[in-house]
Amino acid sequence: MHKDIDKPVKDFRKNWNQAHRRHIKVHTGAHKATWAKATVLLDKKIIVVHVHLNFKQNNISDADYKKLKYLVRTGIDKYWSRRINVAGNSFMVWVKASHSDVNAIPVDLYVETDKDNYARSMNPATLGIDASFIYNKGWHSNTKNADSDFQLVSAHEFGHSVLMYAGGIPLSWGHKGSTGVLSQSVKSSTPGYPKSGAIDIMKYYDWEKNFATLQRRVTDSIAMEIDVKRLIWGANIK
Amino acid sequence: MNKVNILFASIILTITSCTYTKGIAVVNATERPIEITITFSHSDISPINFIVPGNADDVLMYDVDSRSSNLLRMGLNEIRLDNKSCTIHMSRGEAEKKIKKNGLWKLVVGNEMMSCHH
Repeated sequence: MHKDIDKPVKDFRKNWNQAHRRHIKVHTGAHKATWAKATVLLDKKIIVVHVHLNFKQNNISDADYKKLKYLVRTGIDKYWSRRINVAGNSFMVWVKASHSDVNAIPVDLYVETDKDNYARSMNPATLGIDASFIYNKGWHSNTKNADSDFQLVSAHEFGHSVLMYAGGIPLSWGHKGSTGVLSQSVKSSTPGYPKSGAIDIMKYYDWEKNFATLQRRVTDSIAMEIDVKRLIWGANIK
Repeated sequence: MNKVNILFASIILTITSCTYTKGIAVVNATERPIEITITFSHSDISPINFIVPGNADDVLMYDVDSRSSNLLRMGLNEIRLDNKSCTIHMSRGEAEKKIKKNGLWKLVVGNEMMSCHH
């Protein structure tokens, strides 16, 4: 699987002629993300990845805090759980997000009530800056759309931590090559949304080339297989 | 967090705040699904086509820069509404009257709008 995400395990046994030592050099950083723990159930072909986020209430109400935590958790579970293929074997990956005060991605939760302002969530995933997940209560015309949009955005923002851990700033801030790293604007080479089928939750698309409505994005967005493998690559393995 | 990091983060936030997320909500207040097609006078913007089921809604969300902050300013040419038994062509001028801004721009499509008999 390391090879699938361009982080092959290098086996130094051949080079060093130390086959008896069972000493394998693994790419630096593999399975060391403190906020993710994976359990591999080989017999059942299931991988469970627990990811931890430290949800900070700030000045939102207890009810909003409880609701937003639930939406983030279910959003990550929904968009990051999927089947992957490892060496010809199909595994179901279940991603389970939960709150933790320690060893977690720090997330500030906010509610934007201004109906004229769609507040942008963000997760620099570096620099010691907390992620900001913003629920646009005022902008959306109904709660269902506001909830769906927030789940989708939260799953995307969580993914920035995955991409940052596996590939650094170019991969994460550059949305896998679909945007400029600093400008965050789509590149001229970036395609429109796919006409049908899966939408990569971590990429930006050029809506002027092909559009996708909120319902289409809610239905068809998903973390790509390579990104779920990147998550597992970073996760502590039990 | 040290000063360099704060400066770096500030630069990023300043740059990324130059784009805005805008939207048009389309509310189908009829029983039947409606196929909606939006065309633009700018050839570099592809037509938008989607179906809103009966008694449901959908949202067009898009990022723009500060100079072109809504679809109506971006060369919107025509909105076509089709429920298989009736097709309505809404010109830009008509769309501007019917799409109301209340935070989101909102187009409510009711039975009266989808009547081809008036």
